[in-house]
Amino acid sequence: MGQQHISLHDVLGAIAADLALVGLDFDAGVLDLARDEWIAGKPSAVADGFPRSGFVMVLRGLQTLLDTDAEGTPSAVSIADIASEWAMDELGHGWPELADSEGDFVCLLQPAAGNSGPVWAGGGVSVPLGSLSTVPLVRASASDDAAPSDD
Amino acid sequence: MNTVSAVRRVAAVIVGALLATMTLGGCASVEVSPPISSCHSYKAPSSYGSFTIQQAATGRAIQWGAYPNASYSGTLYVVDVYVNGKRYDAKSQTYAPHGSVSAATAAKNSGKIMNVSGYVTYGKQVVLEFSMQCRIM
Repeated sequence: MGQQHISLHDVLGAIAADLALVGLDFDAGVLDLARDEWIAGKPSAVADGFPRSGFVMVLRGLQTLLDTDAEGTPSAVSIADIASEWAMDELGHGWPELADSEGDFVCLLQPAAGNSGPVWAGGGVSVPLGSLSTVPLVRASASDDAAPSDD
Repeated sequence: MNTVSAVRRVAAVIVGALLATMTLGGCASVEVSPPISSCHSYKAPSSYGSFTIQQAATGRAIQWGAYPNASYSGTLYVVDVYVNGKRYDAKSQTYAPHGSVSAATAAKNSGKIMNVSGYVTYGKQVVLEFSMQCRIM
């Protein structure tokens, strides 16, 4: 209801902007399995065995089948969910973690379908993907922020 | 630091597909595998590490993890995840793998089989192979 369509490139760009806040390079690609065509990102080898329809997101060594939305396009929530899991692995802690005014942990924000597009939501907060800079987040110590792996 | 002995051991963790041989009536034998259990709270009976799959309820997302013991940790972890025989996820990474299957996919495949299998290498040597499967709620 009232869901605003946001292009795949905008979704990827928004998530990349959020991940850049913690120093991560969101170098993702999306393959359209039906057309065998990359619709975002850099082409790379994709493992055999995926269905002949749908979309696969490739992020470093990860290849994951994406959920699709009502229009049959890759689900932004699904992409953000994978990005969040990847970020947690890279950082060694939860991401994105909402903080209170003291900087203390409130909750882990989760991707969700908002009325006007995909959002990070939790703890009474709901912000569009790409807008994490507008909410207080738990700041990890410098030593906790891992550099992106180059595998 | 974890070390692996010079003579690499390849340990196979075959979970949910452990074949047993039964003799029926003294004249017939069949190979059977144990019933495939629900993904609700699947834990491999393994001494090689922690291999688990969890699904809180029907239609909910599924979480899985494969965490080998230190003796079987490696430098590369390769995993394939299949849902109802179709590839859902493929990982090749330098740390112990975990992941999830979305609620939407789980709901569409209720009653179908999920399989997570992979291997761990240390250098060029395979030190562990594993496979687990369960029935999606």
